[in-house]
Amino acid sequence: MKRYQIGSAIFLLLFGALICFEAQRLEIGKITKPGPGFFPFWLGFALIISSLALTIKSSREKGEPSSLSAGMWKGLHWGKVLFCLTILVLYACLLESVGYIISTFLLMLLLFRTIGGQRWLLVVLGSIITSFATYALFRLWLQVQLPVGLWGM
Amino acid sequence: MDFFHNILYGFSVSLEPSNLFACFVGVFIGTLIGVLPGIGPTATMSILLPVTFKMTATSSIIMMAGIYYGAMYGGSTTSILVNIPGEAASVVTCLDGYQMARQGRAGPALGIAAFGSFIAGTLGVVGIMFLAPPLATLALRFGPIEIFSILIFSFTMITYLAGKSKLKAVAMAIVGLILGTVGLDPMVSIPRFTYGSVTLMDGIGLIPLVMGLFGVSEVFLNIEGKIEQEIFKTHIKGLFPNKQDWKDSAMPITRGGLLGFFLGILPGIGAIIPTFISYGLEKRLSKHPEKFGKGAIEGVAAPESANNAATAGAMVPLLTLGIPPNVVMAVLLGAFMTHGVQPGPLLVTEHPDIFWGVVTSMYTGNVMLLILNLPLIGLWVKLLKVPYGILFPLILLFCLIGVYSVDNNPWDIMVMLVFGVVGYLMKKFEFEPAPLVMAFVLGRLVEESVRQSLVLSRGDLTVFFRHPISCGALILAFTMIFLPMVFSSFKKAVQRAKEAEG
Repeated sequence: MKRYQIGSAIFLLLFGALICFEAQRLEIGKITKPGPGFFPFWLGFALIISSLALTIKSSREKGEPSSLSAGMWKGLHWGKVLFCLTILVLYACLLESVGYIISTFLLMLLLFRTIGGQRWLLVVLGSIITSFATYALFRLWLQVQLPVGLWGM
Repeated sequence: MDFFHNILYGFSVSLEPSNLFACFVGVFIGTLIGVLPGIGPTATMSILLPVTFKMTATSSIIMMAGIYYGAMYGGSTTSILVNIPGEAASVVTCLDGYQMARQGRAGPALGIAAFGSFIAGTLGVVGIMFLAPPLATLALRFGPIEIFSILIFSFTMITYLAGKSKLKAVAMAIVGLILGTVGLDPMVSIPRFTYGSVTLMDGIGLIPLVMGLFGVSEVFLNIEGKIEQEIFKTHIKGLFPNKQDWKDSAMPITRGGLLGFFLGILPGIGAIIPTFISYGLEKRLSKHPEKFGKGAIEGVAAPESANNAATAGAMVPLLTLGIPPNVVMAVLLGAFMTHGVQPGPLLVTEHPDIFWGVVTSMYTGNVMLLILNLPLIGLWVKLLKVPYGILFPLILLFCLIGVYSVDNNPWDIMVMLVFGVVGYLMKKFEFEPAPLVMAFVLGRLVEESVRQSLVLSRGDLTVFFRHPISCGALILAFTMIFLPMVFSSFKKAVQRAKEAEG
C-alpha cells in the first residue's frame, strides 16, 4: 500500500538526517584532506536525496497496491514471529550464565512445541538429541568454544 | 608449459586428503541445503565460517566454494521433483523439469541436470584458469583511483540489476555503506557510531549481518505463513539420458555454460539471471519452441549449466581484483579475510597454493557431485519430507551457534537478531537485502579508495576521469544509468509518432 511505501521512505530520510548530524560531530575535514566524518556525512546526504526521490515517486504512484504490501500482515501469524524473537533474545541473555546444553534444550523445547507444533514425545526427544548432538559436534569434535555455565554443562 | 605446471601443482594441493575431505564436506552440505528450501548458500557459508577457524585457509575456502556450487546441484533436484526451487537459481528448471517428472521422465531430467552442471562447471573452471592470471597481472597496476571507479561501476550494475525498484536498491546500497562505517575509522582510528559499545568497535560483523538478513529473517517469514510441502510421487528409474536427450542437450549445455560463465563475471549478476537468459535463448533458437514449458529437456539442460558456470565466473573478480561480484562471493571474501589472506591481484603470486588449490578443487568437487548426486537422489527426496516445524528450530540453532562462536560474544547474537528483524521488515516493505550486503562488504574499500584518491589528487575530483581505466569504468557506469532512460524515451517517442500517424 502507498502509505507503507511513503512511510518507509520517510523513515530512511530521517535515518539519513541522523547520520549527517552525527557525522558532522566527527570532523568532516576538507576535500583535500577528508576526515573521519567525511564519508559518512556524504553517505547520509546521498540517503536523504534518494529517500526524498523515493517519497516523491511513491506518493505519485496511483493507488496500484503492490502484491506484498496489500496483505502484509493479513492472515499471517506474525505473533509467532514476535514470540520467536523474544525467546531468541532471552536465549542470548541466558546463554553464558546457564550454559549451552541447558539453554539450548529449553530453546528447542519451546520452538519445537509452540511454533513447530510437534507432538510432546518428539519435542522432548528432539530437544535432548539436538542439544547433546550439537554439543558433541561443535564443542567436542570441531572444538568450537561454547559457554559452560551452571554445573559445568 | 607454465600453465600445466600450475594445474598439476593445484591438483597436488586439492588432492591432499584433508583438502579432499573439505571439498567433500562442502559439496555434501551444499547439496543438502540446496535441497532444503528456506536456507541458502549465503546463510550456510556464514554459519560454517567459525568452524573453519581451525582449518587451513586453503581447506576452508575449498569447503566454502563447495557449498556454493553444491547448492546449485541440490536446488535442481527439488525443482524437478517437487516444483519447489531449493535455490532461486533453479526457478527456471521448474518450468520444464517438473513437467518432465510428471511425464515419468524425472530420471533423465535429474540426469541431464547433473551432467549439464558437471560439463558447464568444468568449462567454468577451465575459464578461470585461462582468464584469472592475466587479469591479475593487469589489476596489479590499479591504484585507489581505478579501484574506486571499478567499485562505482559494480554498484551501478548491482542496483541496475536489482528487482522491482532501482531507487530502493540505491537507498539500500547507501545504508549498507553507512553500516560499513561503524567501528574504527580505517585511516585515523577514531571510533565512529559505536556509542561506547565494545562489540561495535570492530564494526558490525559480516557474519551476524548476513545471518540476520538471510537466515533469521527467512525463518521469521516462513513461520508466520503456512508452508505446505507436497512431494510428487514418482518412481525414478534410469537416470541416464538417452541418445536423443544427449543430442538435444549438447548445444544448450555448451551455450548455457559459456553464457553463464561470462555473465557470472559481471558484478551484480549472480547465478540467477543467467538461467533466465539462457532459457530464453534456447527457446528462441529452438526449432520447436512450443515444447518449452511442456517438458523440453533443453529447458532443463541450459539453465542448469548456466547457473553452475556462473558460480565459476563469479570467482574471477574475487580472486583477481578482491572485489566480490555477488553476495555469496562477499561471504567468501569474509572467509579469506578471517584467515588473513587478501584476495586480489597478488593472490596468484603470493598464495599460489590457495589460488590453484581452490580452482582445481572445483574440478574435483564437480566430479564428487556427479558421483554423490546420482545415487543419492533417493535420500534427498526423503529429506524433503522433513516438516518445517522440525527444520526451522535447527536452522535457528545453527545460526545461533555460528554467530556466537565467531568471538564467543552473546552480543553478536543480538546484532544478528536486530538484522533478522530488519531483514524481515525489508521483505515486507519490498527492499532487497543483496545491495545492502554488497555495499556493506565493499564499504571500507570504497571509503579508503575515495579518501586516498582525494589526498593523492589534492581534492581534484576530475582525477577519476583523467586515468584511462578509471574513466572507462565510469563511462560504462554512466551508460548503464542513462541508456535505459534514453531507450525508454526513444520508445515512447516512437510510440507517440505512431499514434500521431494513426
